[in-house]
Amino acid sequence: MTEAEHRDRYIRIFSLIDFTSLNGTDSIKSTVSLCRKAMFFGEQGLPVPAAVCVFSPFVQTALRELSGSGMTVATVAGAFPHGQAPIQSKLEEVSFALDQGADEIDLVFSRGVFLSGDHQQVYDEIAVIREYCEEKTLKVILETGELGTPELISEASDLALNAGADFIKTSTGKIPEGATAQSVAVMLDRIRAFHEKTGGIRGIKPSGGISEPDKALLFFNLVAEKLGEEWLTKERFRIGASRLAGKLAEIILLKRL
Amino acid sequence: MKKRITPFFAILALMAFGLSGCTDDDPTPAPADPRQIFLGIWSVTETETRLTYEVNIEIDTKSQNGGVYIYNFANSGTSSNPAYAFVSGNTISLDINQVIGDNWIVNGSGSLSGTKINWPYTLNDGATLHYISAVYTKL
Repeated sequence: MTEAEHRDRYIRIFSLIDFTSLNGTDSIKSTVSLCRKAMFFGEQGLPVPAAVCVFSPFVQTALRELSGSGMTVATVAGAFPHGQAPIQSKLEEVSFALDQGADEIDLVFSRGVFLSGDHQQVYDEIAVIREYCEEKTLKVILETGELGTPELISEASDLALNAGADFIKTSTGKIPEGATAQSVAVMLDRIRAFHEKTGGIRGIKPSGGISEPDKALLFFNLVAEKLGEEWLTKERFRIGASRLAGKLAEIILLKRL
Repeated sequence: MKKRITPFFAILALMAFGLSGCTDDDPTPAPADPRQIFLGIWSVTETETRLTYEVNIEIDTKSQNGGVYIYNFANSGTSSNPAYAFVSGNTISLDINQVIGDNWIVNGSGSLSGTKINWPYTLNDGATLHYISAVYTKL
């Protein structure tokens, strides 16, 4: 790969980032700062990230800050990050997020129920939340680091895709194991199988532990290899990260390849 | 004779008192500030990172907390609020759960060995809890 191609890929990766802050210390002030930083990248000649991802109390702030930028606002739901809550509580959470104006819902997969063997309950939960979300983008976070085996990641991917997920996402970022090449490869295989079977187009969002440009490039190349270049758009591919954006910007703008 | 001796001993006694008084009042050298060995500019390399960056460690003269400021900790930017750390012997420890840079929460301790500090730390950037090993080299 030439230096120009390398840089071009980093620029494209930049435009696929869900620029994320999901900390207990988040506030309106920090959300404003996050959004302004996302906008600032655009002012430096970089593309803006695909979306900003914040907790639901900060969705309105993010929407106001990002107005006209082309960025969407995502939020997490479903008892993030563990997913341990009754369905009614999760529905209320999703309803609140949608009322606030969230464009995208990153929903936690109930892996506790899934690993107990009750796949139908998990399917029903995603399906009903899918209905609530209507035309909004629904990403289902599998937390692959807790599912453990490729077989379970494969089963969970199929379940989420069949229940109506627009994207399947690897991780919450709150456990040590985030996205790995193996887990992403398994998920990409299931997205391709779903596409071949139904014609439906679904996306992938590696997240968790992606702070290095090289690692993001690994996932970018994996998506291109397994699903094709046409999947390298923000409608089909996102990368959940925060620190990555600053590092990419430094490499791209300071030409440190 | 007594009249001659008495003033002589009195003077000696006064001199002795004065000398010992001088000894008590002289500022004795204070023990070296353990923070001194950490001060200055360090070049930092981190695991899995192709970028290196520099940090500047300065003594906290603004408060009575007894720590140091670390500017650009975790490459958070020199204009960002600095990290705060405490020094004990050869160990430098970040103040617990402090927020720096872009709302990053950092924790961890480094240990000085020769001209290097090995500093493993965690950084929660809002998307991920990163486990980072940093090596500081004195410039």
